[in-house]
Amino acid sequence: MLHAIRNNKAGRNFQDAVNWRSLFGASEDSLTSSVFGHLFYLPASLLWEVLCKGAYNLELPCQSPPEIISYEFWPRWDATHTANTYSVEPDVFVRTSEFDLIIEAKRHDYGQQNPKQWRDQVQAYLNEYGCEKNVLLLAVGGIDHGDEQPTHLTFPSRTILVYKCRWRTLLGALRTAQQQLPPDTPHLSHLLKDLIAAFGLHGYATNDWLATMPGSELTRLKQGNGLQTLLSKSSQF
Amino acid sequence: MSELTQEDLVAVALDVRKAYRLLYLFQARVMDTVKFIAEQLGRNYHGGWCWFSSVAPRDGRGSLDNWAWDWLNMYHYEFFLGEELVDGNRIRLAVILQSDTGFYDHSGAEKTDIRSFAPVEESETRLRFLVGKNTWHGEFGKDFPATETRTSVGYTQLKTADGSGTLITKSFPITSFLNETGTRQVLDEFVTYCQSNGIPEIRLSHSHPAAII
Repeated sequence: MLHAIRNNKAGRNFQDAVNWRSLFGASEDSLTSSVFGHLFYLPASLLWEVLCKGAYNLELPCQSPPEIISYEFWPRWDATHTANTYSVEPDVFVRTSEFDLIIEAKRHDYGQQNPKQWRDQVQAYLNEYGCEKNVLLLAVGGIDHGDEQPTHLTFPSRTILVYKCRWRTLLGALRTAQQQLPPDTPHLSHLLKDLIAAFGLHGYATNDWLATMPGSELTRLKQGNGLQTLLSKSSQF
Repeated sequence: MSELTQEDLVAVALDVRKAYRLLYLFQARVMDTVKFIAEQLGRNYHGGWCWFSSVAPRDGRGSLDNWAWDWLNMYHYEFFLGEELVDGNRIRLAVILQSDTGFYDHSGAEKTDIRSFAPVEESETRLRFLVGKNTWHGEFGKDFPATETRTSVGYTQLKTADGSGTLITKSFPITSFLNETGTRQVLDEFVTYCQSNGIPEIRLSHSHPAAII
């Protein structure tokens, strides 16, 4: 589907043709589902490595990377003791063998997250699942300048850590992972390529800029005597 | 002029290898930049053409009498970003890499005599944006400055005789595309100009994802 949208194929065959690429590119839910939907296909070790590198100061409450037991997009939870009337709907809910993870995503990288919303989401989690398991919240995107450090949310029974992550830093972690993949893992390479393409579809730069011409390479390529020889001996110049 | 010795040729070949590797690094980033531009404009790459020489010979076609330029086609190359029907108007887009304006900068220069080109220090490397609404550059013949010199810096806007077609083009120095910030500035400027000058159908496919609110 991602490829159909990227190549302007999706939406063509409907009676009222719709530019899906434009619609999806602007959508917070599309960004969340296309990135995290692919992320959960990664092996646990790579998934947590990418998340830990992409987020600010994220520390897992366990020694080794836990396997994902289940994940759910936009679950609806009991809104008791929250500001919501009917339900609370975090973007993604992940259950692992060691802890649970709530993910609240925003479309852009700056200034959209709301601590009150985090608190409601944790309260709704406690309504649904109680205090049996360790739970973390990861806020993706919408982080204010200078607000990258974890936030502590205090509840009567416990304190919950909210870690922060920007889409751009997550993308950086994915690109690094792609560059460092062993050569015998083409399936992971394809997965990471699609993940990075999902960022591209949503307007994030996924390329090497001219500013990133590798200095060490360029130094080695500095012209030597050959060009000088040509200059002195050839009428062509 | 004296002939190169074998020792000289060793040194020359060394620099040629360096030049190829430098070109690889440069062209890879130019292609990435074009890909980003296409993504931002909601387009895909739809093929390309060399504006300076012929297509590089392949599959046994062509001739060894072809110019060496035919094997160096990104000297001046169009990346066509396709045609779309928007509100009943055919909108075509292209980004053109002009790696060296040197040939065009010197009136009377011959393509196979690089001595006749303008000095490299006085030439430019740049990307040119080209958008057509219900027309394309072939329709304007000599009125379309396909071989822009380094002194062509502003916007060129051409109208078809019946007024139904509009062509807008502008060249930007390659330094404008150093990074994401610069590239987005160029895109914002170009799209704004087109929207105010008869091609409102051109738009960015999404707002800046890292927008600071």
